[in-house]
Amino acid sequence: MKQIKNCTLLFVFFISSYSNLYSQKLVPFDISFQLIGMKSLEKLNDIQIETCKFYISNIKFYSNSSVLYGNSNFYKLIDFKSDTSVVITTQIPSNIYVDAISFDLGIDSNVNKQGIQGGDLDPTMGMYWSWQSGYINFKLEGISPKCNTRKNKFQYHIGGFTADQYPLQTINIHKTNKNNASIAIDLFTFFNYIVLDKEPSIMIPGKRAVELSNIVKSMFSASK
Amino acid sequence: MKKYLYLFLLIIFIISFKSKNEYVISYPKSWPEPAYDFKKYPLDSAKVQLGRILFYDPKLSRDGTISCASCHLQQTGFTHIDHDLSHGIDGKIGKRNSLALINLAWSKQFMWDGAIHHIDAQALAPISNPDEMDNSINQVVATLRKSKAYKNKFAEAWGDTTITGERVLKSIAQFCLTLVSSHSKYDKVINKTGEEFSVIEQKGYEVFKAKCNSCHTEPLFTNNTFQKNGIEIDTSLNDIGRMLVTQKAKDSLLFKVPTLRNIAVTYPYMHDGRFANIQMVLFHYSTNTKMRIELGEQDKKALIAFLKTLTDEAFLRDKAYSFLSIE
Repeated sequence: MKQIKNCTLLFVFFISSYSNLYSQKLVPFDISFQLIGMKSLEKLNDIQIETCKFYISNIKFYSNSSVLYGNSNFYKLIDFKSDTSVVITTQIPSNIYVDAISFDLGIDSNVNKQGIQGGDLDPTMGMYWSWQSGYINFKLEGISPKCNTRKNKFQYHIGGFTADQYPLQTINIHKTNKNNASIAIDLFTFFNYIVLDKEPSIMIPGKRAVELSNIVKSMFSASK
Repeated sequence: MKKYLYLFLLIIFIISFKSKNEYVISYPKSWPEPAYDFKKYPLDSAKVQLGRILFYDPKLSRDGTISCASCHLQQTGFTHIDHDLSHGIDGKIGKRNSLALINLAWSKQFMWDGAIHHIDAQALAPISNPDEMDNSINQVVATLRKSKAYKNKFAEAWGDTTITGERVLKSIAQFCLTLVSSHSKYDKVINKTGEEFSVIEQKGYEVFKAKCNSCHTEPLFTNNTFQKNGIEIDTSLNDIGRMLVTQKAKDSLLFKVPTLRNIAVTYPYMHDGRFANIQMVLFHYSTNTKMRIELGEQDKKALIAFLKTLTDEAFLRDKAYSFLSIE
């Protein structure tokens, strides 16, 4: 009798752990992005942001510095439009305890090499270069009287995917909650670096795009 | 026994149903494999037909006057003749001569400077160029969404009536991939299907193999690389070619080697159409100081005779590639 009971328990244990492995329960994980400094930039520096949009991809979830879960098929366009906050939801297994995440800021060369994709990657999203093909990783546009350009516009379009023109950056967010992460994008980091009257735009891939992508990366951090 | 027979028939039925719509391009066995991965991304007849309709529809331009076919005319090798620089919307004159859309499945990069790395992205360039169709993919999608006929065509090709930028561009790309030219007199001679070169054509072929084949390599008559050929820069255009894309000094003034197939009907020649006829091209090669190719007058006559054998009448007149309207 005891043997049968043990066998049954063992059997039940196997079945439950089997189903745990192969049919994991997924729970939502929210990521909120906040643009910091919009109002101050406008009031103090006379810089008006009109467009801020970028791709995030290849998201990874960490616990104690180890990757527990990754989604390489995850591509999302973050478009602030007229808001200063955007929240997206992704899914993670219920049994992992997340304390950090990382993601790529843009579209990697593998996806670029496959040509055009759909959904968030559809070219109607305004993030695909028409004259020299490839995705735009990050777009920041606006107006400032410091710009001696048509309509005082500044336009920063950062993209490229060939080996020597690759501005893809991995953003590490070292502190998250179990079910959500809050990310601050400090616009001052960018505008303290860029000299608007000398460099009001970048519209092509290349060395400068790679240099600027490092500045863009430094805008991102875990919200305090 | 009977139930196995029915199962077998069912399987055959399902398999045939799945591949019923596949469009397979045909080309001689001796040709190299295409650069495009047809196994991974097979063509679909409904998508090809939709792409063909879009190719000929001027609704894709800002004011409804310019279609792809405006610069890529079937009868002249899917390029347009008699214009050194192509012109587009509002009669605007562009910066380059339009390329012939022939055997694109063997290309890895597109445009004279290789600015487009994948055929799916190609149509976006002329659609968005202010001198060509002066439109946006967003506007194209908005225009097509107003048409019930297009919605139905997209449903036929893509499974539902949703029209997206991705679907528009991929449909046009699929049609362009079907434009295969492999039935010229040259092909019939090489494949021994009943034609012979004349004496002068044969002589021209010998000259070609000795002097031109390194860049205009058979059977595609291009090696699909970027090359200099000794022409001087036109200072009214200052077109630095490949360097525009790679930003590397070594790529300055390099342009994609175009195919010589149907060359007799795709004048004028070079990226800026500076040579009105083949005689002028050969004169350049035989006299320029940077990259001289020794060609006597008899060589040139023979070469021209040979190049005329690359004209593929079947391709230029094939109804499968011709104008098709949505209505």
